Amino acid sequence: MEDKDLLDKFFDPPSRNLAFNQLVRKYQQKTYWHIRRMVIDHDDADDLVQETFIKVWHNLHKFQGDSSLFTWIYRIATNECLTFLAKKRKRFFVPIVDVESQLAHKLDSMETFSGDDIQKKLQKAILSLPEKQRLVFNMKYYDELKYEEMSEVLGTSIGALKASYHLAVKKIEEFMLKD
Amino acid sequence: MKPTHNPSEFSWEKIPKDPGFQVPKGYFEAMSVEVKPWEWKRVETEALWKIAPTYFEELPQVIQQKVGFPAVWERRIGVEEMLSLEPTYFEYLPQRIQKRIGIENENSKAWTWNPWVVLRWTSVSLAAVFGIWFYVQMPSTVETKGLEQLSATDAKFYLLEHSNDGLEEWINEQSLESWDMAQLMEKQTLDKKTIESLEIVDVEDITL
Repeated sequence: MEDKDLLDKFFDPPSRNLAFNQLVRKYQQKTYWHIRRMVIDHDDADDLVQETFIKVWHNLHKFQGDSSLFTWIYRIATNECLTFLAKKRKRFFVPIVDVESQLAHKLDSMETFSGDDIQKKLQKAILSLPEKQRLVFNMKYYDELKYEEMSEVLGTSIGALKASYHLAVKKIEEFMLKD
Repeated sequence: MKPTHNPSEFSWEKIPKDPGFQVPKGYFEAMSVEVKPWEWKRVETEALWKIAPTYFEELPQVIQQKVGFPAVWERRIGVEEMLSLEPTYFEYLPQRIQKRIGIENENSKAWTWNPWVVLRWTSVSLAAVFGIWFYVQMPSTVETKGLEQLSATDAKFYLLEHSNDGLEEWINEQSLESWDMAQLMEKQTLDKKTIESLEIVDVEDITL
């Protein structure tokens, strides 16, 4: 179903619940994977997906249609991730262990990781990037978003996004070539 | 057997585009069934329901009956009441929800032992105590013993704290072993009164 039809149904009270269910079904996997790649842990991703869709439910009436519905949901999910990671960081006031190293360490013991060595090393390389670069890389490499869409989600210029992605790729290549 | 990574052979083409994460079986299907925002809405003011909108449904049947499902939705029952009805109910919650509620409790009322929190506050307290001690104690040490009795590091801190602005940058360029009072004098960044007040008799001979 097209987004426009979904929205029309959503704004029509009798079909509101049905439309929202369809919206969730349509975007749940993309949203989940975007969040999961940022927070690594399944349970955390699960909670953040719920939070994201609660916010979508409460705020969909404010959606102006300036961007696509998907980039709007994606932006909410991204903000949820950043808030979650910032909260985690605050809990570790003494920076002996930073959140990203913790997540990288988690990868080694995680039962829900089924990738091979190279996939794990790539995830660790991504975790070594600064947060915003990590977002940009994931959005471009895994979700194959266009720079225009990324710009809508992150509120950053296309030029800056291209530079950020280029830097991220270089850093990851360096990381991957290390023993 | 899972392939092993050889760094010298890295190329993007060889990496699967799948990040390698798994989701529990049936997760996405279950999520679709669980989406009931019209129920979330009615409990939006209660922290517990906000934390985990579906948690009650995940409790075993026997617990649901004991606490009075589905009336519980209407009564918007809270954690305290739930505990009074069924003291063990917390143990029945799925791990994910226990974790969320645990964090919430820690933040709101019940303090739970967390070594990071202890480390954080211990280090902050020690730093504060040392800072106060240093600020109060150091001038009197200098007055009674003279600057030369201090370690190079302490003397540097003292001078930074009690002499002219602009000295810091210059001092930081010097190694602790090499700078001395004579050099400071040559730089004329430390005024003579400060040096005199330190009661150092022969300034030229003092190397910190």
